[in-house]
Amino acid sequence: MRIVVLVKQVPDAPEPRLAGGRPALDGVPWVTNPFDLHGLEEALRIKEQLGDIVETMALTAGGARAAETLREALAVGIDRVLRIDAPELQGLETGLVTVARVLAAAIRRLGGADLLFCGQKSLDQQSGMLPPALAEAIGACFIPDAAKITVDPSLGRVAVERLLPTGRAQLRACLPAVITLAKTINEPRLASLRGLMKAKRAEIPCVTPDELGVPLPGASGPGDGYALLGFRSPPSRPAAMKLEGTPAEQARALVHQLRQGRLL
Amino acid sequence: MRAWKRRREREKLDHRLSEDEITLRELAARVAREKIAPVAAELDEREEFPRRILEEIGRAGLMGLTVPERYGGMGLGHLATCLVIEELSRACAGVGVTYAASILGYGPILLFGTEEHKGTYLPSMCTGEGLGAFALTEPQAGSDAAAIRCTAVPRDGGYVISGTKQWITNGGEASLYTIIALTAPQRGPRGASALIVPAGTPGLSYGRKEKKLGIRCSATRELVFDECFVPAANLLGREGQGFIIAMRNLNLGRPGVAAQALGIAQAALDHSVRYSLEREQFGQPIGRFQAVGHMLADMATHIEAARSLVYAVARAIDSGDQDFEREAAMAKTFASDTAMAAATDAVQIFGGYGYMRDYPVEKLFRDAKITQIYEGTNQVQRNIIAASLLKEAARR
Ligand SMILES: Cc1cc2nc3c(=O)[nH]c(=O)nc-3n(C[C@H](O)[C@H](O)[C@H](O)COP(=O)(O)OP(=O)(O)OC[C@H]3O[C@@H](n4cnc5c(N)ncnc54)[C@H](O)[C@@H]3O)c2cc1C
Repeated sequence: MRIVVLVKQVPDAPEPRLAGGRPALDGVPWVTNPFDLHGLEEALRIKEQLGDIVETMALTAGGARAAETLREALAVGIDRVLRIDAPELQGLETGLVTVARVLAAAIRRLGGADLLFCGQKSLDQQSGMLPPALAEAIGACFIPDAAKITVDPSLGRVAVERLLPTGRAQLRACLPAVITLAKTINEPRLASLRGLMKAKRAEIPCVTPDELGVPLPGASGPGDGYALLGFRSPPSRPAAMKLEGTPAEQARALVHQLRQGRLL
Repeated sequence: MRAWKRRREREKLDHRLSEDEITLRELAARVAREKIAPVAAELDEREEFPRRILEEIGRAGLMGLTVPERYGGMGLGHLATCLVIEELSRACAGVGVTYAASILGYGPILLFGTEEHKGTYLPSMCTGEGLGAFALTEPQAGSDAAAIRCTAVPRDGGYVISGTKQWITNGGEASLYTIIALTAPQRGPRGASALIVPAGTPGLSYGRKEKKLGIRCSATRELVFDECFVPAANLLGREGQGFIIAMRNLNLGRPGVAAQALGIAQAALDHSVRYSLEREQFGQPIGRFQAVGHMLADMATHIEAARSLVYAVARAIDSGDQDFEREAAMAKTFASDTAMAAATDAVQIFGGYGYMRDYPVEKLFRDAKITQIYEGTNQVQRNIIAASLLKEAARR
């Protein structure tokens, strides 16, 4: 049984500035999307439970720097990794349907997968749309927001508890399945020293979209109807105002302000 | 949401650390930041032993760093150990000493143990399940360790231990104790031997957990030996070697106490710098007042000097240097005096807020003091340094 965890390296810039119409990412640290760490943890736990019949893998698409994210996966104990060498799949230049198609081709190259774990969203784009697109591309079933996963390898299916605002839903899905994980599902472990040392020296295999037979739109490939036109900063917020004085004075000033703004 | 975020600090002097050493330090810093710092104040307040944190440290593979790989360790050296103790102590010196005291506990086995001792006792020390403790001090034998009275009388193919050990770090929590006791009381200090006493040995019991000024999450207890029998196989080295083993062990442990002090001092500086920028009086951040700025400058200067000394000694030990007693004493003394001074100034910089439990420097101030006292007081360290200087001069 193979579990593939999709991991993404993202810029850690809570409020990116724009420079020349693009986010200025110079000097910004790149980190593994924190939502994806839950996928790594869940895969490791399932392997710990079921033993060596489970193979865990981590897959990422990105430039050379993204190999660091795969090293983190190796360091916590993931068995194998693969990087799709395509930085243009990391940003917004490429439509999610294309990204999903390339990832699906890579998963086929790896020999397929029974379970695919994704984070709920990525820190940078926050669309949460890639997992369903990926499920579509590989013809897998899709379950969002899993709070508990129980695998029954002999039956080839998985039981999932989903968090709903009003409670929990119990679901069952056939494999293969793409599942996004709720943040509450587990607490991701830290890498061990031994794992870090081993990961640091590991070869990180990589393939290009062309090698996967899915050329990217643009130069060599067909268009996919998607184009990135530009970025805009949100309008700057008016300066905050601090009310001084005794609580009673502050309350009076607050009511006055709210009335002036016609909010009361 | 951003708890996972890594704040990469720029280390101006990298002390020529290797890539592996930096990886190790970053891992320890991460454990400290994510697992220790959030609970440090609470553990201190409740005087609660950091059992879960030790498990985390064990899972991270940071226990048993100096244990050879064939016994489950990492086969690393004293510099590696210092880097970890420093980072842990930056978040909580109580955790730092708990970690360091365990090393002191299994140290004699590493140094003088047989293959069988090592195979039996070391693997659990590397996982975080086992914990070590080293017991030398007694009520009337502190600095004057030769005044110990605890006896281990040879009998029936083993030793019967009677007496008490006082203020033993990890007492009651450890799985393994190495103790120094008199196997031949009539020979005085030359009749002392080192023995392994596993927790649970009949006749070994513990006093209450001491109430302390600082490092309050760490456990300090009395060990009471009442006709406690251990087999002859639990002897480390030979009979009569007890003080040689104890002194070798303590000398090797000194850079560790120094690293603990460094961690406390660095934390004091970190908090002070941040607060000096945030706190405004007379319409400007207090860091702009030269009197405050100079305190920061002195703290930072002493810390860098102490770090250089501590790392240099640890490196010398790792490279096989046998003659490091003087320098190890210097490192322990200088780093702990630096920690006390830095923590004192940190409280000063925080003013009244620094005196309150709600702010972290109050704990640093309480924690710093012990580093000048245990594992040989700084007075005793100065005695060692002076004696070594005079001995060397007399030899010329
Ligand atoms: C929290 C804590 C944890 C500890 N953990 C351990 C442990 O795990 N294992 C263990 O074996 N011990 C442990 N100890 C004991 C510790 O090592 C001793 O407290 C220390 O060695 C000093 O001994 P003392 O407290 O009896 O002080 P004393 O020896 O009574 O000293 C009192 C004062 O006299 C000074 N003095 C003494 N002799 C001289 C001298 N010759 N020249 C100049 N000044 C001198 C000292 O510097 C000090 O200022 C611990 C102690 C504490 C407080």
